[in-house]
Amino acid sequence: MKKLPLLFILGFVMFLQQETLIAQCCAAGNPLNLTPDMEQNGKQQLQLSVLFRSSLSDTYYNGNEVIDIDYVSNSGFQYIELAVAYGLTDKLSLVLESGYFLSKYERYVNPDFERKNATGLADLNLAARFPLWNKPSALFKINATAGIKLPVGAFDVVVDQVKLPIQLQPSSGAFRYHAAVLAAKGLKRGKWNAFGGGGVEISQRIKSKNFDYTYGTVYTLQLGAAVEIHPKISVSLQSRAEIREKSQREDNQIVEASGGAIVMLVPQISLTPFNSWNFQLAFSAPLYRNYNSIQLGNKYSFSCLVSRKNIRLNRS
Amino acid sequence: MKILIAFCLPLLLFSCGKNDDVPDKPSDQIVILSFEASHRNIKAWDTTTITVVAEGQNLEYFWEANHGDIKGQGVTVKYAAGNCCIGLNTITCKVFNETGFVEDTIQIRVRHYLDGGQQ
Repeated sequence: MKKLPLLFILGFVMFLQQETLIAQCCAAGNPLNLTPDMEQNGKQQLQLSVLFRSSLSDTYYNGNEVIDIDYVSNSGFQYIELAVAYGLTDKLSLVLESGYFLSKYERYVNPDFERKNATGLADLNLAARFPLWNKPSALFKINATAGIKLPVGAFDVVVDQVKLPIQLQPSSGAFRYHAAVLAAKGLKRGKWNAFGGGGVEISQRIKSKNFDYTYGTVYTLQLGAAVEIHPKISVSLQSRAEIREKSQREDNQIVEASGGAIVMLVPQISLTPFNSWNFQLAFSAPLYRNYNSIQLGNKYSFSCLVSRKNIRLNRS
Repeated sequence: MKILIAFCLPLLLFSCGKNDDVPDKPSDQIVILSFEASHRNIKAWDTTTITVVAEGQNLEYFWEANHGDIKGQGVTVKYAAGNCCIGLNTITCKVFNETGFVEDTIQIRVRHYLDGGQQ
């Protein structure tokens, strides 16, 4: 029975190897988190997790309308992230996340253009998570997260003596600062949970020898509900909006074909087969989108997470 | 602490490496004779062919663009860029061998996809 978590991980790794798992990327660096995390680590308790994320884009949009452009046939990524969260105190957890792009690619309509693919280390996320307000008797809490993503990964990646374009670079090439607030209210003795929140991610200017670019600030809003359908299984559904401002290139030129708004529906299932072990699957598909100018739009993304909670470092 | 070290060690090993094999020093034994594009003004997602002709021994070619994509490798490549890259974009070619490198740049203007102008 104790080997089941290992079988989960083994199955997960085999799942990653499938060629059919394809995905998309529109920006350099780590993808944004899809699912809310209200968990607070206890003092000196550790949480380890492995996340796999995949996403696909294969359609161009002019604003919110499909436009036929014969260039990229599909684009995507397969991304894996290791995370460590440690309870420094009962009210403050530190989070360290490091991602790796197993594949970040573009395929082209023109058969003369070879598929481009990058692999490499993404950014390192350092964050602090802490409660802003907690009222257990009312099953209500508000948590906050703030942090910085460090561009420690692969940038200026070259394949066959050609530097890859910025959207295929595994690392964002710049510091990014992020903050988020998430509120959750338990209903029906905690069997139901309603949650909502918002966040912001601000990117610094990328300034390498070749690239001079600043990604637009991203604002996220989420609203959803989760229900426990079995003591070991819960499901949730959230709507999630991402509003991205326009990017800037050299000499402060605005990149008109960047940014926009997208609203996604994210169903998620969470399993807790064993005490402290958690297994999550989440799927995201856009319900509404309105890009600035013409852009390749995301079709779906998928994530899978295995985590082990409540690991006590101090056994005394 | 052990977990922190285990977590950070791969970062130190794999991060921030140099990704190309171009030597750092300029060479006086390589000469770029010509560096031309078939079109210097293209509509978004159209392509232009860029060719470099250089003189020297055992030459290799490294390409980069500040915005947009380069397809192919060697003396002739194709360049294309989407609406994301409207404006004047710089393509750089470094020609190199064991003696060092020389480089040249060319600028390609990319217009809006729905702009009806001619190349």
